[in-house]
Amino acid sequence: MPTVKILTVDDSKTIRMIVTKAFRPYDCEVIEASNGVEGLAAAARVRPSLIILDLTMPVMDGVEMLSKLKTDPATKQIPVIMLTAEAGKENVLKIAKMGIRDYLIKPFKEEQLIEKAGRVIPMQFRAAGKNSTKTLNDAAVILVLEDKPAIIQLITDAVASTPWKVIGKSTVAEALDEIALGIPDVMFVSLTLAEDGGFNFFQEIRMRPTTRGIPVFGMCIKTDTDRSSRAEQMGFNGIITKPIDVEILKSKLVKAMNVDISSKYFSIEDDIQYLIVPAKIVTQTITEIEHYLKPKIEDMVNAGMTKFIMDMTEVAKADISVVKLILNIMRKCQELNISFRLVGNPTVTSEIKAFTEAAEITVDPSVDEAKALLNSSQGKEA
Amino acid sequence: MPALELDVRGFMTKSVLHVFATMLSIRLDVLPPEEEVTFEGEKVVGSVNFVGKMNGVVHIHVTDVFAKQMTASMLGIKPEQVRSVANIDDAIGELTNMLGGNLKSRLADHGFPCVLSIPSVTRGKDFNIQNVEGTRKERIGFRAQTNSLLVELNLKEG
Repeated sequence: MPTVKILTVDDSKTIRMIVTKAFRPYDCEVIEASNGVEGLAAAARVRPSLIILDLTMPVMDGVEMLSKLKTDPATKQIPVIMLTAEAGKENVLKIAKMGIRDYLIKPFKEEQLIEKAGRVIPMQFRAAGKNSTKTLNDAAVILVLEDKPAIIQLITDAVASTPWKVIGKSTVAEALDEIALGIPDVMFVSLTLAEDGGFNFFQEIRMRPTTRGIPVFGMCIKTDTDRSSRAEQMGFNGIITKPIDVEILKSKLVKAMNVDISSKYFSIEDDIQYLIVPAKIVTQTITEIEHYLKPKIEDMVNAGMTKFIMDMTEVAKADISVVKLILNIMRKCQELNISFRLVGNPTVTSEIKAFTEAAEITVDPSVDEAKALLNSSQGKEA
Repeated sequence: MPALELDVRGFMTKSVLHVFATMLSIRLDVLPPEEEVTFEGEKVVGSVNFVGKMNGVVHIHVTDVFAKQMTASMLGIKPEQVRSVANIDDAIGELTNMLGGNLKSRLADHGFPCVLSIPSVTRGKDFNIQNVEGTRKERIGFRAQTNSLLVELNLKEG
């Protein structure tokens, strides 16, 4: 439940929709009212953290609503940002005297509204995972502030297989200019820039409402514990040590952006849920598959799907952790009456069968065969 | 300064370009004064009046197709997602209000305080808006790709 509630009072539905849209990326709830009377009622009912109030409205205008708000002890402390299409000196002076926190002249950009709201109330981006639907197929922008082109290139290469775009900037000024053009999804900042540039940059973006919630990672060499401790104390979201381990970098990126990476392993085709296990299995692989397994099986059940193929034809080596994963999936499928087939190459098949717990498991030689078995009347539990 | 000496045409032109660039991210081209702006099909006209030391009205004329595109641009959605005529009328009314509000402020700063009305929107085919005699009239045409926009301004000292 968002703790920040924003009341937008405007007779124009268009403006209320624009205000609501502007705050959508932030952890707040926007309540709408179309005139001063409705606005006062809503303010008394929801006690918003901020009111965005239009000046010219029918029924009761912004001036009257504001004066009534300020005379009610229950609402007089609520900060108000006034919206007005009238930018004249006289008008600005008049509304500035009315006890408002700020004002915004129409036409306005959403960023200006967020900037002003952020000066009045604490604004955080929506918590990771709560509303994020980003997948590996979605675009993302990674801003790298680094004066060494080789590091920027390394990060660019590391994400080359994704639709993510890396923007490298070598100075703080250039990076800030870039942010003015568009807010990145994540930032990597060198901690060894001249005159503490990386730290100063971090402080600057944490003060701005629009960038306050962006994950920022510091970068320094492994042995530079002074800088990494300082960055951790300042609130960097993490440290990437040089030489950069590409797998760790990608893993941190995925977590920071709350990317759903299930498509790396899971796919659905012809009403069959496939789990395609990559050639090289590391602990991370098993962890990631297990993380998505439960929701994927729940989705299958909810969609009325009853067929599951675990494809290990590309797998080079199967150890006990892989066997445990297979047994775990088989058990889950059995509990929910899901037909399961395992597919493997000859090497993997023999390695799996070498374990006592898995000796009885049937391993199909190809996906086509597993599919045919599932689709035929014989396609029962392996 | 006498009202007739105010460069309202220049101010209004800048104001329209600014409102469209800021709220709609649409770049307009200003048409030469001699170029007549005509509209095919249904037209949507947003109007806002002001009364005080200066009386007058601002109208913006667009086709209903362009009005829909303008609404979509304002809301950051696709035109086909704009399903309600009321939403389009509201958006056109709000844009008219912004232009009227900006003009009102300009007039007030030059010693012509006035009060602005709530905007109204008229739709239809084949209609004209006739203004009373003795008013200063300005007609400014704009184009955004194939779409036209006409801003009409009528002023009379109160």
